[in-house]
Formats: sequence, C-alpha cells, structure tokens
Amino acid sequence: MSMLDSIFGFVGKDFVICAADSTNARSVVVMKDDLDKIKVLDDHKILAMAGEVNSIADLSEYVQKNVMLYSLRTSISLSTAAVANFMRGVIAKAIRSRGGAFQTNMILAGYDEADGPSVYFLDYLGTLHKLNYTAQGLAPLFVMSTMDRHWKEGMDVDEAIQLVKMCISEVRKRVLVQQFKYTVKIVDKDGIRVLDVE
Amino acid sequence: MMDFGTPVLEPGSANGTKQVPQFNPYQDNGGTVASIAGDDYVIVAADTRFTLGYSIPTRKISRVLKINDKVMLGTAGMQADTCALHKVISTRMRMYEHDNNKRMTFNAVSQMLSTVLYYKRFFPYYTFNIVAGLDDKGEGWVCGYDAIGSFEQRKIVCNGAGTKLMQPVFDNQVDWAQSWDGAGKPNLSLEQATDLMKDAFTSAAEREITVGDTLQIYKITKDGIQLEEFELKKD
Amino acid sequence: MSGDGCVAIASDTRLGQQYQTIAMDVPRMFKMHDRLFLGLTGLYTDTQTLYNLFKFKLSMYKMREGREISPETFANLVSSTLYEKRFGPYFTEPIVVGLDKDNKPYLCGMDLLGALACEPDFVTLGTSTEMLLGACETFYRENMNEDQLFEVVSQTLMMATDRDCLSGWGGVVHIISKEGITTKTIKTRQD
Repeated sequence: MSMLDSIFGFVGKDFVICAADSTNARSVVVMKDDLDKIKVLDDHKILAMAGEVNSIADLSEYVQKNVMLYSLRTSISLSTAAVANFMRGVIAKAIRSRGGAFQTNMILAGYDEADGPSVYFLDYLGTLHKLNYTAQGLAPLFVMSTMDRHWKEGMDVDEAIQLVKMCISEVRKRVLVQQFKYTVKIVDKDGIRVLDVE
Repeated sequence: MMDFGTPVLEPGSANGTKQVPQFNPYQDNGGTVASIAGDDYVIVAADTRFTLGYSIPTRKISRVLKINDKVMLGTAGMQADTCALHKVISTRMRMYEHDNNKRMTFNAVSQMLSTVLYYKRFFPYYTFNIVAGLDDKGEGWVCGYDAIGSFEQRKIVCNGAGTKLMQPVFDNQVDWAQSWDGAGKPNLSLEQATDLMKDAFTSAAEREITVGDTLQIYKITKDGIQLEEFELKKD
Repeated sequence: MSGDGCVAIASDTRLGQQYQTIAMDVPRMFKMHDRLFLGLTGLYTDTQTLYNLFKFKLSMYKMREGREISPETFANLVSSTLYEKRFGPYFTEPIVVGLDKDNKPYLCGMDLLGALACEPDFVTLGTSTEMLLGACETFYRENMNEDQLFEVVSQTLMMATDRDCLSGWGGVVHIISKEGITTKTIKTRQD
C-alpha cells in the first residue's frame, strides 16, 4: 500500500490538534493539492486518514453516517473512545472479509466533556491505541522524534501551533514527495476549527 | 548424507522438461561453544553432540582446538568446515612458531583467525568461533567471531545453536546487566564460572535439540589447561 | 511462571511496526477474572479482537453458569476459538495463566492454531521466546514464594528483552495468589 501522505496529531491542555498534508499524488503526478484528509465525524471528532482514496471515502462516510444515526436514535453523541472502538471493530472485521481490508491508516482525535481531549492511533489492521501524540503515513519517520522531544503535558494553543510548524518543516525538508500545503484542524469544547498555520 | 537442496529450473524448462538438482555445500551440525573470562583464568565449554537434521551420528566430537598452553579455539556450526579451519589454524600456528621462534599470543591468534576467515569471504566457512586465552599480562579474554571474521574482544561469549538461550543468562550473572546501579557486581572465581557454565548448558540442553550429551569444559590458567567433562541430557 | 500457590505473568509493553516503535505502554495481558489472566502476543489487532471476544464469552459464561470460569476450561475455550479459524487463523499466541479452585497454579501456552501446551513450571511466547526459555530454565525453582517468583520473572523478562530489539520499553508483571493480584511495572532499558 503506497502511503505518500503525512498526518500527525496530538493532545493539548483542553484541545486536540491534527494536521494532514493536502497532496493527492499518483506515482509521479500530483492529482490535487488541496485535498482535505481530515474528515469531520461530528461536532467534536475528527478523523485524519492516510492511504488509498477509495478506502478513505468508504470508511469515513460509513463511520460518519453511523455516528449520526446513533445520535439521532438515542439523542446522545458517542464519546471518542466509543467511536474509536466501533471503528476498530469495523476495520478488524474487514481484514478477513471478502471485500478486503480498508487500505488506510488513521488518527482519530476528539474532545469529550467528560474525558477531555484524546487522540487514537488506528491502523489498517485494526490496531487501536490511545496516545498523547502520533503520526501516520510518511510522517512517523520524521515527526515522531520531534514530538518525543517537544511535546509536553498541558500545552496551550500557541505552543501547539509551534509544534505543528516544527513538524511540518521537518517533513517538508526531508520527504521526497512534495508536501507543500497542510490542513490543520483543532477540536476543543467549542467544536472544530480550521487553523491557518502558514 | 548429501544435501541436494531444492531443484533449480534451468532456463528454457518452462514446459517442465529439465530440472537440475543443486548441491548445497553447507550443513548445520549444531552445537554450542561458550566461554567466560576472569582476571586470571578463562573457561571454554563446548558440547559434544553432532547432529544432522534430527539424527545424531555421534555423541562424542570435540569442538575445541588447543592452540597452545594459553589459547584455545572453539567452533560451532558445520563440522567439516570446523575440521578444515582447525587444520589451517594449527598449520599457521606452527609456521608462526618456526618463523618467529616464539609462541603465538592471544592477540596474534585472534587477529589471525579473523584474516583466515575473511580470506574465504565469498565462500565462507560455516563456523561460529570463539578464541579464548590469557593475554601477555595473564588476564583472561575471549573473542567472538561471526562466519566471516568480524570479531570483538569481551569477557563472555557464546556462539552456536544455544546462544539465544544462554547469552541472556550470562549477561545477567556475569555482566550484572539488569541491575539498577551495577552495585554488587560479582567478580566470579573459576569455580563459580564453571558452575554457571554447567547451569547454562544444562538449561540449553533442555530446550535446544542440538545441545546435549557431554560438556567439555577447558579451564585455562597460568598453570596450564585442565579438562573437566560434565554429563548433559542425552535425549 | 508458577510458584507455591501463586502464579505470575509478565510481558513487555512495546507496540511496534517492524522496527518503528508506535507506543510504549501497550497492555498485552488481560485480567479475565480475579484468578485468571490471558496474555496475547503477536498481531495487535488480533490481540484486541480476541480480548473483546473472550470478554464477551466470559460474561455469557458467568451469566449462564453463575460462577467464574476455571483456568483449564478457559484454556480449552481459547484453543477451540483459535482452531475455528484453522484456515485463516488469528495471528496471536496466547498464554492462559490462573489459579484453580484449590489454589494450584495453571499455566498453558498455545500456538496460533490453538495447540495446547500445559506446563507445570513456565511458558514463554513472543519474539524473544528462546531467550526467555533459556533464562527461565536456568533460574526457575520449584515452590517459590511470591517475592522470589516476582524476582525471577522480572529478571528473566528483562534479560530476554534486553537481547531482542523488537521487545522492551518497559515491562508489567502480574502475580496472582489466593490473596489477590499484585501488579508491578518494571523499568527496563528504554529502547
């Protein structure tokens, strides 16, 4: 599975922040450079996805609709942990199914009133783990060490933006595939906002 | 028993007419050698089981070569290559003694083995060696080698089939690797090292099929070399 | 590893994808009830799937039978669940560890298809299984008490994971005895 995307996300004091590159490339051709890879699941949850475009569309739409359906049926929104485990079940079932696995690695990030901010690493096989910071695609090779060094507990928005900028510049410097534009989204108690980090 | 390996298809044999069996020049005859060096001694231990697949052609082969009163060479892996290698080393050792009118030192032997192995870089000896001995000051050292002559001088080395089972035990008991601050690191005496070696080989013999039968323990001190034989499990 | 009226299970806490470490605090051993632990090595997604599956099966068992499952029965349950997928298996190798009703230790390891191997002394599985075997074989004694058992188990885990680049980044040891479960985290080499 060719993974030419870079996505990363981390937890702040009372928010989560996720960044994804906006390039959609196919072998040597850049098809689109303003692709939004961070899907919105509901008011307080975002899903950044790396991998095959068809799997991304399939899985994100399926999860979005099911999350919406649950909140319509029960008038309660699902927590981030619940969505994460639901997605894990869907993905784990798919790997051994006729249709095949969803060829996408993702980061689920959300803010709950009760539990606060959380970031989940979710890979295409269904490995789920709650972490403070993580990356998928090409980014882990470069950005994990930056985050190991600079992430700290209880960062505020400005420090978080600094860290995002550091990570983006690291990826830009070292990744062979050009990744110029980035989408950055932040989720806090007021909902989801798109940040302009450049 | 010749091992022909898997048949290789010749070009133009897509319709399945010709298949040429290829001769595999290597065999794994099992076995493990290990060595612990102290301030004034070295012990070299090797098991004596010769395996071929799941059979045991013999329970009594020696894997250790005495180079001189202060240095020994232990080899695990393919027995034919071990014999050839030991012959080459002992011949070169005698030549050295004739040319230089002195015994080979530990450092000289370890360097020589490395070059001898590297001469055969593109068709290596399938051997996993250790050279153990007392250096000029009388301190014990061991060198561990890979098949093509890369080596490192240390105080404990294991090589061969039982390495994975025994190395962590030595790390813990001799190097004191898992202790928090290194306090209380033991300076093992010859008897303690021998007991540790016996324990480690007994455990390896339990879980590794190619290790067993008898354990030959050579103890090198300033007074010479003594051999102790210790029975291991024969199953 | 078993002791005198007690049993311990330990694992490292690294989650990796080949040589890249993803997380350093990943649980591999799951408490099924007060006297039963299930340890799962191998593909982490299957670890999670199986843990959820067995949690469900045990809840159903408890509801129907009105009691907790015994370790031997649970081991057989795990074995048949794995064998159901004989031609498309779960890529995990489980260890079932527990105390039966007479406080006798029960230890059992399985391969990915469910072949049971019940041992009275110790069971090792994972990427550094041979290193663990050698170390356990050397340091195991019969009838150890809880403290000795903890010492031996934690030292063997550290010894073996120090020699394996795919394991490490901390360890957790659970000791089950009739008084209850003691859990200790060990700081190993952080690499």
